[in-house]
Amino acid sequence: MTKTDPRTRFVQCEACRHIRLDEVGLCPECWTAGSGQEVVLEAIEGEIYSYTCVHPREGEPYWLAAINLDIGMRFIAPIVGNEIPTIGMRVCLTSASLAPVSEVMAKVFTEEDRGIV
Amino acid sequence: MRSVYVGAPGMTPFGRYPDMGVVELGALAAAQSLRALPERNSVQAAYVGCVYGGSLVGQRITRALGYSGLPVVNVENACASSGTALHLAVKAVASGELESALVLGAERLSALGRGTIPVPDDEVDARQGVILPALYAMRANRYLHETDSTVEDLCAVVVKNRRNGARNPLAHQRSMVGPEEVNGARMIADPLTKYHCCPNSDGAASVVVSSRPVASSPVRILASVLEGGVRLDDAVSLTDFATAASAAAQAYEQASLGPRDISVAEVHDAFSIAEILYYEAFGWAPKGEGFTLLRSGATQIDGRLPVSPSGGLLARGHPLGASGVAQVVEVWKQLSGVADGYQVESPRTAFCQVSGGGISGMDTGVTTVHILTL
Repeated sequence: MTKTDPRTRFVQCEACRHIRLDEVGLCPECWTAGSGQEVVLEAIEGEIYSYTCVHPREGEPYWLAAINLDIGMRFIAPIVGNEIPTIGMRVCLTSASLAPVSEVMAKVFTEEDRGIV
Repeated sequence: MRSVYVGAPGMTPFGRYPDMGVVELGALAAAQSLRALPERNSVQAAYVGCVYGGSLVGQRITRALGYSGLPVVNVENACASSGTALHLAVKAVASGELESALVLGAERLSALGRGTIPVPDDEVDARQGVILPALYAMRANRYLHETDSTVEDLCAVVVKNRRNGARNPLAHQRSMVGPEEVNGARMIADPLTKYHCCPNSDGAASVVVSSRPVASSPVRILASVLEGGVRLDDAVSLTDFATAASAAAQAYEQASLGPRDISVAEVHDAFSIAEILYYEAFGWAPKGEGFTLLRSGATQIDGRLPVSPSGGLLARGHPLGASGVAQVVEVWKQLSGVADGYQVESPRTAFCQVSGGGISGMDTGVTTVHILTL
């Protein structure tokens, strides 16, 4: 686990319970100031809405996915590891030290995660 | 509200100008507009769109043109900067606040170097590895998933607009490309190769808006809409272009027109997929069938609704702050019958749209739509 940029933390407003990214320390729904209660990244799940593979001029290609999070917002995150994303795939967010460009990534659920094996 | 006329177009060729600054580019375009007017004081204010020109860029340009005491409004609204500048000027003239104004867009994007336009590094998307082509690539992959379209349809947009741009002496990219070349080019964000992405251009464009015909031109602005971006929650479709669709609906209402009344259009085709999605957002094709409109040939330069006859952003180029006014210059030429080499047949009503994007968590930052007529 790496230390996450405080602006990329998900927090839950203590006043209205809205979950948001803690960009400016202000809830966009009720305008209550304060950081709120941090939500554990791995508890935030969602479904891949779309994806692409970015090919930087220099460096390795990496997968990005737009994820419809179950908390009601869409969030873009790189995909951990070698999984190739597809639309509809379930993922959870995670903080990963192997991130090439990010600290908050999406981890594709494996069969092991689902308790199938 | 009174009528607002537009004319006296000025525009530099778009391209790369390593030896010129944004002030020089802006002044060259504006001078073309001002020369068409009876006197210097024919404009009472200047509205200037620019993204990376620095502080007071409009004043530096008007100073270079010899003005003293001219009110200047500088506008930064990303790719919709000069579209927004035009909107403000139109409202000022329509309301009677001004009789006439110069509207200018200028940019020297090559100063940023090569590669994609940077997303502000305090934006969460930037920290997440998002580049602008990736946002459109995700729109493309979702569209390919939802419809029977193929990557060849995206290529066809590029081929069409590059063919158009080859006829436009002011276009940045003046060479035609075929589907094989488009597909075989360097991948930027799958499925978009570099030809699916507009070039980073330098350039400037200007017009004059007035309560009376400008330099005897009868072209009028029927609608001018500025629409704010919508937040992306899980209910917002990336293939809807919700902000642009809302702007277009308002513009049709202002103009008392419908989608079928448009006879030529310049849209924000910064990436190939965008043009197809805009066909649907603007009511020119049903949802999910934009690619069939393209396949029908209707949006070719000799079709019933030519889109991006100038080459669009994909070929004419995209100097961010200049693109909104450049579209108006191009459709003014079409309506006036002076688009030599790329004239569409007898257009009566023209549609222009630019959107300023690159903001995390939103569909886009802003969209402007203008409808012009003879």
